[in-house]
Amino acid sequence: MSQQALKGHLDMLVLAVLADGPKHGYAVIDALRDRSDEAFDLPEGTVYPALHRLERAGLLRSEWSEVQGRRRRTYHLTDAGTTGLATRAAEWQRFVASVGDVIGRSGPWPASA
Amino acid sequence: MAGLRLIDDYLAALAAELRGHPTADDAIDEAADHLHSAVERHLDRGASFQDAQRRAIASFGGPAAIGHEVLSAQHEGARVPTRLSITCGRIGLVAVLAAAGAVTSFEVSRRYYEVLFRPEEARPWETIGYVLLAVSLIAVAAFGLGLAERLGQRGTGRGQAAFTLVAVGAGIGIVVPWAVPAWATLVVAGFAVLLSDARHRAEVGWHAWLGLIGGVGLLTGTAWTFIHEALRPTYPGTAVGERLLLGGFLLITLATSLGAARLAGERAALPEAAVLD
Repeated sequence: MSQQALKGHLDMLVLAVLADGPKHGYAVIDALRDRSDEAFDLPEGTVYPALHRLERAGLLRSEWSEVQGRRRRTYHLTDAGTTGLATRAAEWQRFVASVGDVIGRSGPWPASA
Repeated sequence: MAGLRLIDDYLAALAAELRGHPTADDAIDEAADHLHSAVERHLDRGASFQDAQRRAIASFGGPAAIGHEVLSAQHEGARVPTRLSITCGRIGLVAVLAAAGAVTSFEVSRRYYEVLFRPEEARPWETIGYVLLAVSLIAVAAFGLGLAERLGQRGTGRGQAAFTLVAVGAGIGIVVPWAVPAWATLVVAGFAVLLSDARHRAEVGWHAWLGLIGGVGLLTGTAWTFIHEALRPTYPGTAVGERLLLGGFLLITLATSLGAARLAGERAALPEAAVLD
């Protein structure tokens, strides 16, 4: 999948990964890669701005801890985040179903003469 | 984990991209945790120490692109200044100041020549202007001394050389005010010496840099005036056409600078981080 297309859905994907439980940034990226069978291959650093954006929007909250002498930031889904994820997931399912309908009705593309 | 030189260099580069941003420390700590985690993962998989660092950095993304993404997320909807737009802005500022310096220094040279050599023709405001210039130059010299103190250079050879340049320049400016190219060169050179060793010091305030940029503008302007005077058969006098030419140059420079800065800002607003480089 192209990076540009993936960027448009990154917020939903990050929320979905965090629905399983709190994670720090590296674990979020790890989960994204594993669950997509390594199809989602963004520059890893670009996931952090998405996490910060979602936190400012109130969909995530974060807390700092110290692990092996390093500061680590762990992200949690908030109630608003859970609701936001459900809304986005429903919209996505409708979109996928509609695209499937259009492709299915059109038959093979390009149409043979 | 000790000895991660590539990671440390990367984090330093990222810190430079985020310099001055209020959440820079958090963003850098988060990047450090990520990169160290990635290095540990690659080491577990059998990579060498150097290779593990290279892979971790390659997967994370370049510091300019990531720095831009972080700043964009913090200022969503706003244009984020890039190194290119900041450079364009500085060049534009210097260009505008250079043009303003040309106009000012030409007028200053001409007026003070009249004040001191044709006092009967001098108007009261020209005399007041001379006094103000003398007071300003004393203040500039004091500012130079204060800046040297603040930078911890007052007792050093560099600090003494810098202050000497500023003080001699100010002295010449008071005694021979129309010799603008000479005293402006010395004053600007003095400040340049002071600041050349302090480029990365956080304690150097914006006012010091603004003063230096203003000085460069004045210096460039006086160089122009010097050439102008050298080519003129008579001195002084400014024809209407020359004033219009200088004014037009000023406006063109301003418009060009603003256009370049705007273009750079639009490039920064594009989603692909690659345009930054």
